[in-house]
Amino acid sequence: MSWHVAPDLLRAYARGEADHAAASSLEAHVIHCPGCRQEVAAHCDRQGLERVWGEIRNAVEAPPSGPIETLLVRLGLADHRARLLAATPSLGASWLVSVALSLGFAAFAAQQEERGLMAFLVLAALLPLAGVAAAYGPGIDPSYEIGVAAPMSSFRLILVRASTVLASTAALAALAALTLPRVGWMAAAWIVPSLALTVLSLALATFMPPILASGFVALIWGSIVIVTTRVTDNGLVAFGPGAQIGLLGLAAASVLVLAFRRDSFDLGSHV
Amino acid sequence: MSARSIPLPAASRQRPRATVLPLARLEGRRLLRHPLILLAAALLLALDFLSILFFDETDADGYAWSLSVPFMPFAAALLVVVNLAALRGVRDGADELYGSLPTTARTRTAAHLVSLAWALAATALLVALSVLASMSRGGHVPGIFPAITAPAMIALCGALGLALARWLPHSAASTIGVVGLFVLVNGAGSASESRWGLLLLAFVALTILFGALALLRDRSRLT
Amino acid sequence: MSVTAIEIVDVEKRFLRTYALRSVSLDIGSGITGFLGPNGAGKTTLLRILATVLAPDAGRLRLFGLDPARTGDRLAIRRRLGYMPQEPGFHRHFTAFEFVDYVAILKEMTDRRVRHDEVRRVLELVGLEDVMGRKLKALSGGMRRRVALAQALLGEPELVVLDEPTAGLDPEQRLRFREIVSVLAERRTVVLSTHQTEDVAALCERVVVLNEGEIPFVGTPSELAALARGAVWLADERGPAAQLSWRTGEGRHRNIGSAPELAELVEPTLEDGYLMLLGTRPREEVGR
Repeated sequence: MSWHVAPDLLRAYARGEADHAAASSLEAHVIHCPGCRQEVAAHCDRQGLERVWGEIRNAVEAPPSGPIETLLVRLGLADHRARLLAATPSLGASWLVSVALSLGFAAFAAQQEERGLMAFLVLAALLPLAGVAAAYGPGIDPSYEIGVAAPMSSFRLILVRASTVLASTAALAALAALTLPRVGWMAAAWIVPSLALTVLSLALATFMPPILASGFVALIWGSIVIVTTRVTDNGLVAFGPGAQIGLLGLAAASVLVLAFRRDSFDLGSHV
Repeated sequence: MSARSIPLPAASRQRPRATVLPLARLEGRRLLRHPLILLAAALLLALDFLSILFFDETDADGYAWSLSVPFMPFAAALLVVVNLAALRGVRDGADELYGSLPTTARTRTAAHLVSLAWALAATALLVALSVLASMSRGGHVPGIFPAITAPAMIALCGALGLALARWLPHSAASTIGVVGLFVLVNGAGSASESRWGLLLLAFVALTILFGALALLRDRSRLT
Repeated sequence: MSVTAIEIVDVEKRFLRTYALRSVSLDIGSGITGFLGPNGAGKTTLLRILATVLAPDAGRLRLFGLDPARTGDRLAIRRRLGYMPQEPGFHRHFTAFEFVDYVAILKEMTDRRVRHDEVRRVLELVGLEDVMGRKLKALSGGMRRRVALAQALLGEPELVVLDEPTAGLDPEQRLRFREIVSVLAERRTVVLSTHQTEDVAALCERVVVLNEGEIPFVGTPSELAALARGAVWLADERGPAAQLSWRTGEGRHRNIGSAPELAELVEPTLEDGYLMLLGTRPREEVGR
């Protein structure tokens, strides 16, 4: 090899000032000549290069976004939030399908008789609870520990996930409720309970693992419904105006507890 | 520091079926100690207590109701707890280790099935307490069918929770199970006394079906 | 005299389109064999295959003369096997004792008294006798790894497969681990993988280097070190012809590559031989 890179060309190239033709010659040469390669390396701004390389790799190696994530981004959600949401275990297709199916069955059962309506209402009220319990926490969310250590507050993440689960389940339940026979406003009687129970279990989840929190709320509320059904011989009392107001009150109290104890999600110590 | 190791005679290691019982014992005890189960049992007892004080249950229908519907939360809790227990390996990443052990996944599933016996024993106790509570108010002694509805329902929920765990390891799948319970008991609720037998038969048949499904899952896997 | 416990012939493993193992062949006898190699080299894949958790896509494998592809043989192998995975899962609400006891039942130790004695023995062996009753979620990461090591030693298995057993252990614990394993290996086959060349140098009778799914070296630690003989020298700065160079704690540079004349040659360590073998791209200032 007779031609080697001249020192001033080297320096110009390293600063990004070499003209196109000279730079191309240098690059073509350097591929074959280790000596000049080392010379160029010695002159180049290491950090700048590393940074550019890093960005290229990030762009190239970024995992492809799934359909849910792409949809969320199109709806205007920030990249990172869309990814976090799409990674929620209980927002996957299988969950949504099973929720739709179960609501469908219950709505169908409600056509037959009054007891069916009860079942539908209880189901619609409890489903978001199950979804939220399944949306995060150790043993369910594989990235839980990483998430706890990450800068985005766990509380915000959980809120984002919980409200998304609530919204999607509520949408499905509303659709199913449209098929219910002439029951008037009772068709919407599940809305306040589902909201209140979800918030209540989130508040409890600041004291205990999410599955336990949701389980406790579901068990206690379910038992109360059973008792009222027995006492009044009319299950729908559990969804009547008194109950709705009571649940709203509980929801308000839970919101306070949540706001006060929101940092406990980050500590992760109670789980 | 170290105790002398006690090498196991080769023969005693070659009895895979013998591991089902010790495993079932371990799982059964953990099951009964789970907070959700304890709460459900406590709520059931509270319901019995309330019914002593307030309910008038001289009619057969109401009585039949009281032996089945109040057990629903307990059954739902059991479904979730069995599901969680059976999915322990998946959720905690321990399946990698279990895959290297001589006990197959099918044996572990069988142990979970057998552990339901502990839940059934607890249910029988709770049914007995319910019957006592009702008799204390002058109610009549129930027929055999209403009395075994609750244990049958609990067995069914346990088997269902297990089948879901083996076939749908996604933990949110236990919701499907609770839903199944719902629809089922809805159907059960509309059954009158004369169709108890049929209903129980359906419960038992479904229990066997789900149990078999759970066991069959691991047939073709590298266990 | 070592008995060939493990025979690996042309074993291949693919994950989708990536080759984790390309036609590797190896014989392993009793004593301690160390697998050394960078991340992604195939160490864990090979260990998982040895632990019968994974089946190879091609090739022949015999453990104790048995074929893990056959169900009956596979279970028989597992009865004589102890495995510590790289990521040992743990059940948060189990105590250390309960967890090891659970694994012991899965290892078919059905007699409760015998089993509990054995569980206590292995937990004492790894130094966890004081925390046996503590829940796993309350133990540190290093302690949990020791629990995982303890369960691998249950029942004194003839083949012990340990994937990164010293990760997360402090120097004192690592020393204790070496003691345990050397006693263990007197009559058994121990296969362990590690990043740490010091572990290999201190413990292993044989070293297997894995790189990109292949085995470029099998031999004793001193043979591996000898690969770098005459190619390691100390200087006050990075040598221009050095393949690799880093600054040592004393402030001088250790160089590996074609030594210039009048260079201050030093006796190569295992790590030097390993680095020489892998011939990695030049790196600046690898910290020591």
